[in-house]
Amino acid sequence: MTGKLRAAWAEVGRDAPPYSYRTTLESKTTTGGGYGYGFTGPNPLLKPEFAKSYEFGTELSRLDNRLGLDVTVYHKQTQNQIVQNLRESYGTGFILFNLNGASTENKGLEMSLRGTPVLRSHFSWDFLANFAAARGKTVSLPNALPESYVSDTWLYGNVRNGTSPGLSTMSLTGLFYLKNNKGQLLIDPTTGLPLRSQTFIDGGYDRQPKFNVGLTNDVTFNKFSLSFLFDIRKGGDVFNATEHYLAIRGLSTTTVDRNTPRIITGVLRDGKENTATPTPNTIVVVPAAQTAYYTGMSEEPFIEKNINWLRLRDVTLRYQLPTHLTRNGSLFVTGNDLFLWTNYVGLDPIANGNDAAVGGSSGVGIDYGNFPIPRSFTFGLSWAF
Amino acid sequence: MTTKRHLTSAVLAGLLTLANGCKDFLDVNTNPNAPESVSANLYLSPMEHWMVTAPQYDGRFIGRYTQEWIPANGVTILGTWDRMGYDAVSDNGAEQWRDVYWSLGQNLVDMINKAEKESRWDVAGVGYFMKAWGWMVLTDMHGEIIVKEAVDPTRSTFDYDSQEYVYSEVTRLIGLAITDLQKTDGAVDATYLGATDKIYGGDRTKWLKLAYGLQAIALNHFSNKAAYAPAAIIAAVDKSLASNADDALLAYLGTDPIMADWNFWGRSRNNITNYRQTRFVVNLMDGTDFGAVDPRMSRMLAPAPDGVYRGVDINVAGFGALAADQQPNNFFGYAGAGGLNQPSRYFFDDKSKIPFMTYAQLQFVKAEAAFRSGDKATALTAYRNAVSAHIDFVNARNLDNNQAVTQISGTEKSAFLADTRVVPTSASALTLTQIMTQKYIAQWGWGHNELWMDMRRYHYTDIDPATGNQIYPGFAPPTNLFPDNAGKIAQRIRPRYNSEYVWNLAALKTIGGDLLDFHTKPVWIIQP
Repeated sequence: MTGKLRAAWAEVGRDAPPYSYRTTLESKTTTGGGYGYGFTGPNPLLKPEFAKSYEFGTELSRLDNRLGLDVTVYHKQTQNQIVQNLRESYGTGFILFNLNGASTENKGLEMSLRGTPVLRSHFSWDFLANFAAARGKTVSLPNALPESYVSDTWLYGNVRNGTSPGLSTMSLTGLFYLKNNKGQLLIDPTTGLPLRSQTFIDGGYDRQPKFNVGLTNDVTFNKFSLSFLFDIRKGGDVFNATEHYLAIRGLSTTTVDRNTPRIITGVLRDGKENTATPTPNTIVVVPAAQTAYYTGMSEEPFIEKNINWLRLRDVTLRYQLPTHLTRNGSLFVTGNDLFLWTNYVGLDPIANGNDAAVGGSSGVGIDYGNFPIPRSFTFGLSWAF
Repeated sequence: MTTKRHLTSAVLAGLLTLANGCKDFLDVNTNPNAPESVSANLYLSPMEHWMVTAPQYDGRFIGRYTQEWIPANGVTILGTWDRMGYDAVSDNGAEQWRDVYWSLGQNLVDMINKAEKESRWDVAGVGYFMKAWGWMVLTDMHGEIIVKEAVDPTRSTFDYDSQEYVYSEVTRLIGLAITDLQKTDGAVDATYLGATDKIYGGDRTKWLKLAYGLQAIALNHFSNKAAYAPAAIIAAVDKSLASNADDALLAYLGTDPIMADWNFWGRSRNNITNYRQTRFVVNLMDGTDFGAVDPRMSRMLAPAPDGVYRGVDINVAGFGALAADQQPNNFFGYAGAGGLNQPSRYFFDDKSKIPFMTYAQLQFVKAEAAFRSGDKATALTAYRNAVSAHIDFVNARNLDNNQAVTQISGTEKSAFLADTRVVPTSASALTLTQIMTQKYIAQWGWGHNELWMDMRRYHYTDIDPATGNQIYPGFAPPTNLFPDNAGKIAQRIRPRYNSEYVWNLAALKTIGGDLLDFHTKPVWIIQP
């Protein structure tokens, strides 16, 4: 058996985008032209941000390297983080700022286990299992501001990738339903419908999965080889905006019971909602007659919690051609994303509402009109001359 | 030896240049493509643009509280504003908030500072005027606003100032504007100011008149208070705009590809296409309320395809029971959403001029002040001047881009001015109803800030003791008020959502801004 221990410590600085220290005037195209300040205000006190990180790891192998384990734990704390295009009160004279002062903490555990259970001349089996669990937390925001979000993720309704101190960096904020101190839904005593917050609030949602596992297997038997990769995810919330879009337009199958009278479980906001004896809601609503049931619906019920999946990312069957035909050639067939088992109601929980370029915690887990990964087959012949 | 020395010098010089170059290249703080500061007058045009245009943006919403218009074409459900409500989680009705703090904001501070340093008293005076105007319209609209701590990029929370304080600041700033605009010494230069002044072309004396006009309007807002001083208002009006030639107007050139310099109300900008005139405004002009048909009606409002002028019922979504040929056309004069690139009406053309303050408006202010002080003879003269001036104003607007609307003839005008139901011959027959409703007509469609202030000062439905009827005849709040109103009518607009409700909520809560019915809380200025 052999073993190694690793440890690393690093401190990395990062600068703000150019010209964000002083503000400049831009040429205006309103009547008469002229100059005026842009949206972004000055910040003469801007400093580079620094991230301190450390990690510990070990690599172990035994049985002549047929079994190996690699474990890493890491921790990274970013101080004085520069938050770009942060909004503030217009009282500043500006609209957006680049400010220091955010702090985020990321930590995680990564493990990989590899092994070769069978190693014969005509038959061998290799596997590699990767496990990754990560947690990111917002520790503070500049100027004790209540929320930070990437505006490009506010792409549907009133849910966005907002985060606040104490929350996951992957949280969602929105105009969620109001609740009393016991967590019961507050109901409007005049309409019988639930009341929504007028400001973006946290609803305890986190798009960060509990962990991900990738499982690769390679099996070789004579001239045939089979390799396949399973992708497993456990936990993490996904906002199914597509379903909300359909529901408020009466196009979702969840709305076919629209003529059924119902009472929304909750308590009336009648002044007694936070007392020991709140008034239970008894107002009957018929959604077909009271369309606000759908049109005023919060996006909140469409955030699906703890989404898991098991997907077969790819599988390849390969036949090695005899060496008298070619120096090195094979026939193969590959299938991508042949199946997906998930508890997600929408099409595919892997959705990203935007792309990686939006920065921040991105639009991962916001599914608005996203298509699933297509299922594809590839047949091939490789031939070496 | 010499060659060698030369070579060394050359290499040294080269290295030095390189070092310099590197330093410039690595400078990420000074943007080589944009200035950090410009000559004082170059800040002016964009601020003038927003000073005239921002009130129109908010007029889409205020105009529904005041029942000037409501969206009707293609509408199946009454909007929040049509029920005297507001749009939650939206910046609707807060354009002036944006422009006073940002479009003016730091630009105005810089312009005034530079102008004062260079003794350009005319530019500084215009700056103080704009500052006073901004605080006044903003407080009229929202009540408590941020003034003392405003325009400070180093702060992140901002306390609200009381409306009483804001008005004292407005008064002080108008005083500074008047003082500066009276000066002819230093570097006062009509050419310098005129290079970028798109309203008055650099004419300091007209800006001075405008400052007196703003003073009169501000003083007149105190009509419900003990401090109300009609004599001071009349004195200010007398020093202000002297005729329609002094009207503060902004021309929209219509040259920018993204339409930033096109008239906000034009069909191309498509901001008012689905709005229609209300019954209330039609009744003021078609003889329902006063017996006389106003010649301006057919030049300001839009007929239905059958030629009759009708207004829409504000309590009914869309056109209600009106048959297709009875549904009023849009303000451009076409059915449905028609009128694109066609001749338009009144100030609804892509290149129309939009007024900021007019002679007619100020004569109404004088008429009201004189009437309330008991000097009805002065009131009647001012009132007649105002109506007459506004008829000329309507004709002028219908010529801004050679629209197809016929002009009001001299005969029509004199007949209307001689109609005692509208313009009494005897001063004792003049009523507050006449003054305020004619002022409503003169401000209809563009003077939303002042028009709403007028209606709130008379609590929308106050009774005129002389007639026993409402000063605004037949004006009734919507029957189905917005749920958050708790049965009360609109008195202010909530501060801008994406500024205050998101980033300054703690301070907002101290003035009750988080309450659902905050927009029904009467502002200080209209209270005794």
